[in-house]
Amino acid sequence: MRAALAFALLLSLVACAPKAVPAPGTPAAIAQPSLQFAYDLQAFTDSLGAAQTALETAKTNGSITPATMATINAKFIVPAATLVKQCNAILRANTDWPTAKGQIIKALGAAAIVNVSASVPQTAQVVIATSLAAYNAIAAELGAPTI
Amino acid sequence: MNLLLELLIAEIPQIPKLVADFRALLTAHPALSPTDMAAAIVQISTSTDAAADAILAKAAADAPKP
Repeated sequence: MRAALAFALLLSLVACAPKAVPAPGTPAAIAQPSLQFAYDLQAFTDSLGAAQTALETAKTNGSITPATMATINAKFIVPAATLVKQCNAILRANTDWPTAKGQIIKALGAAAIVNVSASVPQTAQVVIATSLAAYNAIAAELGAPTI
Repeated sequence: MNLLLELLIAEIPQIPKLVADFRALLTAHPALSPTDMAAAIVQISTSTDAAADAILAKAAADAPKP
């Protein structure tokens, strides 16, 4: 009885909480793994774009060198963006998730994405941390090696 | 209100399970049809591809020139 009351209270608190506004076209919950992966990929790509923009700003104001920017682009951002396009092509070509998943895991393995954190200044490490975490979350979800 | 809060606090050990049950309720929605899912994937992946292309273009523009 008490648990039921507490649950009812919890529900009322949740119901009264301010609602997060979802991005346009983004359903609240997606059960299908292919579609969920498409959204994960979108979030990863958004984080890459944001990191690239932040790195460009850091380069412009002298926080990082052009060489650091070039390293991150060549070893992380470009291979990652290329991988995103490969994964999208796989998703569009396969209606069944197990087949798509197998091909995506292979693509992740073949992509020359490097965790450049150890070889770049802390300013750059902070900027790319979100993208690295997003990539590793995707890889872990698929059962592929993380970086 | 205090009584309700005390009640809630007393049930803290149960909260993770309650939240999990609640989330399960929220996510138990009807599945999309295969056609709708394919259309959604095309829509999302097309937009993601465009973002990835923009990233690649920026990287190419920023690459050191020989």
